[in-house]
Amino acid sequence: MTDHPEGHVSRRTFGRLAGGFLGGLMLGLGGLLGGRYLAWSAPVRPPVVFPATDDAPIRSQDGILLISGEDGPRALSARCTHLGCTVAPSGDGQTLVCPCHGSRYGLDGAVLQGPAKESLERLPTETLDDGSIRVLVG
Amino acid sequence: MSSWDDLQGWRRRLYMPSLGDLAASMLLLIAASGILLALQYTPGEGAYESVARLEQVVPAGWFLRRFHHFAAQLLLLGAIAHTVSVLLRRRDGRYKPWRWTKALALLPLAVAGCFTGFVLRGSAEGFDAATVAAGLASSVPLVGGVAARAIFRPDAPGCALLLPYMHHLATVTVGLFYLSSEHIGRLRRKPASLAWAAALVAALALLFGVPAGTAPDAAPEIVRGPWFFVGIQQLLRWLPPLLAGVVIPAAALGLLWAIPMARGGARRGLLAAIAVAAVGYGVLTVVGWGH
Repeated sequence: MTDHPEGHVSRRTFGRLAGGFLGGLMLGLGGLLGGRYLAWSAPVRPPVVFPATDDAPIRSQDGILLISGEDGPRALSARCTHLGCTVAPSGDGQTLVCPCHGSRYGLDGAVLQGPAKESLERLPTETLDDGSIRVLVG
Repeated sequence: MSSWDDLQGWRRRLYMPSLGDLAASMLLLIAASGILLALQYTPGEGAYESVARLEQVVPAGWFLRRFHHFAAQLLLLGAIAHTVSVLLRRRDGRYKPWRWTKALALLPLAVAGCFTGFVLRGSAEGFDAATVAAGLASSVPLVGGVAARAIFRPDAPGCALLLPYMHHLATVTVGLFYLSSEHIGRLRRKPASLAWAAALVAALALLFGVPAGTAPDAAPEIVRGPWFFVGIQQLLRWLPPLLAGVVIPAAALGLLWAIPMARGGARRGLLAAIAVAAVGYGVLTVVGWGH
């Protein structure tokens, strides 16, 4: 080991400092980019179209429920607001039931029985010229 | 203790596998049957159909599928039995912390393997189970959203099962082989253990079927998760998702992990807490099954 003049940084110390700095920089950048990379999600899904020919009171397609009512068709996401299972009409067609944990919703999407706490998501609809109904998703 | 020693003596005389050998054998059998299954399985939109094809059309497909399934269940049961036997035999509480951590890590990994296998059936139950797992992950503060997307991406049209498939084939497999590498190495000197294990699984595969679940476009009245999650599923009917699906299972694993660190009364208290939790989980499972 040789003595260094005051203010002079040894090669080893410099190496450690530079290595630590570079390592920290890489970790920071990696964390930032990795977080952004993982958090990105695909753009919205294309709209779902229900054909005019079917006039069942409750229709289900691609995770969407289309419920006919006096004030026109109502589209609800079939995704249970508890943990995301797909809800389906009960046997009598009066309620919507989650098969996983038993949450129950009215045909307007409001919660009738937990564990779900929030209503089913209501989705905008538009009636096309040929009578089919387009539901905008996400 | 002498009856345990007697049992071990008989086991050795018949060249039967120990719990560790059994788990390592299961892992090799799972890998072999899994590679063969992958040749006829479609992880995309047609997953459910490809499972039906395996069961009904592909020669010996039904047998391979059941073989893979039962070997995996036995790996999970073996990992549980291994944990219990270590706890009961090492009364002095002297385990090396790293070895104990590895032994415990086998439990969630084996569960993850069986669970992703359940999801890969591509049935309505499988899709709902994956959605619930992602939903539970997303309930974790800060990292939840990213964790959920790392498990299941229902927004990927036609290939929603690819991520669970990747975890099934890569993440879980690499982890299980890493954790069991010592036991697998020892198997080379005990080929009879592997033969016993294969015979046991083959017998199960010949005797019992494995359900395929409901078609993905059908709406089942009740969706029941895989047997080891029925208790948590029941808990989720009563408690908030973060508590029932994340905090309570993690706390149970944490208690198990802490046992070697505890001494005397604290150790006895921990063991009692684990025993009560295990019995409680059994009761929850029975209640959930009857739901």
